Amino acid sequence: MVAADFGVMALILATFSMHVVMFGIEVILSLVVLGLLIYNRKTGDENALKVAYDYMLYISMTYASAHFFLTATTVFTLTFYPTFLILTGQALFYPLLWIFVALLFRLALIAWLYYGWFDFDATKRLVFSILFSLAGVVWIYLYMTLLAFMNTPDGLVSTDPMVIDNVRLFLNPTILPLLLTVVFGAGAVTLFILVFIYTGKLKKEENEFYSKLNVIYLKVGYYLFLLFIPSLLAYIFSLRTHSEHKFKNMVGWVFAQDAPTVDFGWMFFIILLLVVVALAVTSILVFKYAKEGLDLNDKVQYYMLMILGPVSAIIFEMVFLLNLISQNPYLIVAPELAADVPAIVTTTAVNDIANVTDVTSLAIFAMTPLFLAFLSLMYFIFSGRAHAKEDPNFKSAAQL
Amino acid sequence: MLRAFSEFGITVHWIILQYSIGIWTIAVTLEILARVKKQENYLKMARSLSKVAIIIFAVGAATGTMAEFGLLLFWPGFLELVGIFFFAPLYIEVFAFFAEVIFVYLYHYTWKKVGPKFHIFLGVMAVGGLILSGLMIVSANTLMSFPPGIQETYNPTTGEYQSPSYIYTAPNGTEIPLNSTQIQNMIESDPEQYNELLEATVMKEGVIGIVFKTPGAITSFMHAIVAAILTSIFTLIGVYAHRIKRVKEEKKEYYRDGMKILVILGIIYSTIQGIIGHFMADEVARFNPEKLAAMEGTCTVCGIITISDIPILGPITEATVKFLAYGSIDAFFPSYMDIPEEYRPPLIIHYIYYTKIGMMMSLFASLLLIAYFLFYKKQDTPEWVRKGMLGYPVSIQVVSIFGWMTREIGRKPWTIFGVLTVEDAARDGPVSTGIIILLTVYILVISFGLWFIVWFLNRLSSDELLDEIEEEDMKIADTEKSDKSIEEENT
Repeated sequence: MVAADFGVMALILATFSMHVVMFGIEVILSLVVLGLLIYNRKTGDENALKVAYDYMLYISMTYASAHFFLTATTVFTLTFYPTFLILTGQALFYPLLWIFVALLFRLALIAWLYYGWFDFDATKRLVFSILFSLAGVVWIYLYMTLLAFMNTPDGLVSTDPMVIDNVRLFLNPTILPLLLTVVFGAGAVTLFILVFIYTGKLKKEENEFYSKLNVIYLKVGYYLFLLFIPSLLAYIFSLRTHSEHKFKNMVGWVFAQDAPTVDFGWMFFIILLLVVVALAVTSILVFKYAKEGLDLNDKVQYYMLMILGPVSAIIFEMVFLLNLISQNPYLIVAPELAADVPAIVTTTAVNDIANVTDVTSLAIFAMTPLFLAFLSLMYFIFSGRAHAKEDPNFKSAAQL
Repeated sequence: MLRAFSEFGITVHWIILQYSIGIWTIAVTLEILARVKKQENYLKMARSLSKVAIIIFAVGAATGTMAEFGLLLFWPGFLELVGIFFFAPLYIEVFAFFAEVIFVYLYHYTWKKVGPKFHIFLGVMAVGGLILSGLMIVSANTLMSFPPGIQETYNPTTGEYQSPSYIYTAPNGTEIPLNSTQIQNMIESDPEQYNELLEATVMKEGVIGIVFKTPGAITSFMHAIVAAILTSIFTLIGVYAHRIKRVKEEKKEYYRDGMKILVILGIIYSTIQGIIGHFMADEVARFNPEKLAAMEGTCTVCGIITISDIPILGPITEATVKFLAYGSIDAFFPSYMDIPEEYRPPLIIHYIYYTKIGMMMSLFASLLLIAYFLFYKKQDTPEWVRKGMLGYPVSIQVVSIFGWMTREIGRKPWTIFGVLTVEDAARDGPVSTGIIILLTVYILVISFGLWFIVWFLNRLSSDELLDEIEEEDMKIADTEKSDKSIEEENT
């Protein structure tokens, strides 16, 4: 892989994995909102309703960000692998079509729920929220058909002319473990990020409801994390059967004797280490501290709660990076197919014109400050400053 | 049918994007003016505009994805060519879009939470992102009308017409002139050779530089951006004219101030647009004579009535256009019949183009009339003028869409002028179930987009908007009061 190729791949991988993480968080948040609405209906606790509304802002922000990263991925792929994009666009017509439908359906529901929140009665809100969450889960499933197709193009009968068996496309053997990995992983990450947010808030001011939520999120997140680990292993081992090339690259020296192209065993090993650390931290928090009630004045507990969100997000992001990068040198892992049409499905077939230093360096120079600004925006929104009171030093136009 | 839907989807996207660019630009301009002129109403206006326009992003993103999806599925030939050779505008647009998303949200959520100068900085960054984004998308479209290597072939002194010609660069650096027929033959017989030529030509210009070096790039961009701003200005004037009649006297001042500043901005931008429009038409005359022939309807045997047939006005218009396009009233327009039949654009654009020009001139004249009442007579506009203003949101959209139609239909039968025909660019084959589903989705999204535009106009003119801002201010004041009393109690 030459330097520019590496830049190209890094760009596509970075935007695509950010997209997957953002949209995973967004879908899980919609399930959390549903949970809060059900809780409000059962107990009549108004706090749950207020918090659920706050989450709608987080949802709209993560939705917009996920959308941006999707557009970026599409454009970068069009730039560097135009033929591949056209081919997959034709081959995956139905999954793409339904993803598009689900995307628009969810957008309409976000708008309705967010803007109509105070106009709707409790039942209407609940119904919209159920539809919203369901569409999210279906959306994840549809998305997994794309990723699974890249693992092994099950259902692709021929490329010239394009013949697709759509049933097999939707029943790809790697879909189920991948789906479980994403749902449990995104679930744990989202809840741990919420723990991070509430720990920060509770440190500044006491709030009984937030304390209660913090403990619930920590515990549920912990169990989801426990489920995430076997799902991830099941996914990786499903690759051994259905996409051996990818499996060997992915686990490298840790589980396989040799890696066909690049040994990413080191990355896999780091992920395993981080998983062990996160598991240890959450186990101590859940079984030792949470039982007696979390004490944020205890520095050990405070820092443990604060690192959980970022560490789990890094694990999730790394898992997706590893999943994509292990394809190397294939965009669709199918060596027997690649032998016939290597220009379409290999990473080395980068568009010559685009594969120049100007293009990749432009991306790095433009993306770095923008990404920092993006992180500031996320911090601003998730820390609750978007709803905070105005700056007392602010002067109106007349006062100036 | 599929192409028509795809084009219609892009048009709906464009209608929404115009508001996105225009409203944010006006909001930031008003905020700057508010700070400079110490005008509280301008500040309120800027805030209410940002409050309404924030949702445009979501809808713009939906219709944008729809347009993207439509290109991928309906125009694979075109998209592949763009992806390989003309990717730079879309590529740079990604970064502009990112800046847009970040700074527009920051601008919206930081009202009264950061210092005024920093808030204006955020606004300027947001508008910068929006404008850069517009520049890139329009550049991609400009490359379709003025592909690399395009040459001036028409001689206005003699009226001699030649088919579109290009100078390509061979991989060894030699220049190779080719006309559109030769290009078509080469694509048919040896596509690899053509791709090599195009690649060398693009590389010579620079993959990124090509975005700015194409003839028409800067004028097309400025024309589109000013069109977006003008569309928003006229829409807002229409909305304010609607409101001023319905609100109580104490609130009328807000709308009066709004109308005054918008009329000034409208006159300035319309004048700028006229100047840019001239330069743009000049480039069409030089590089796209086929389009000019259709725009001027230069066909004596086609049985159409053109503007030149109108007594007095016709000859004056013709002479003026000749002078503006070629610097001489004795010049010749390209004859429509000289163009090979298969490459003639539809003559309908003659009517579309002149309707657009006529409507825009009327709108400009009406702005001057409003200015006369507001600034010279120092009174509200008479009722008949106010009623006329109510038609602005629709009229200005018609002008904008007709302008867009002239550009797009005028390029037909080419998708990329002289290089790729619509037939080669679009998908062919039977209509499958999937396509039918997709069309249904398209219709739903387009309907949603149209409904949104109506909702947006309603929201801009709703009583609740100003009340919401006042309510928010009161809440903030209450919180401050209670914070103060807690502090006092503590001390």
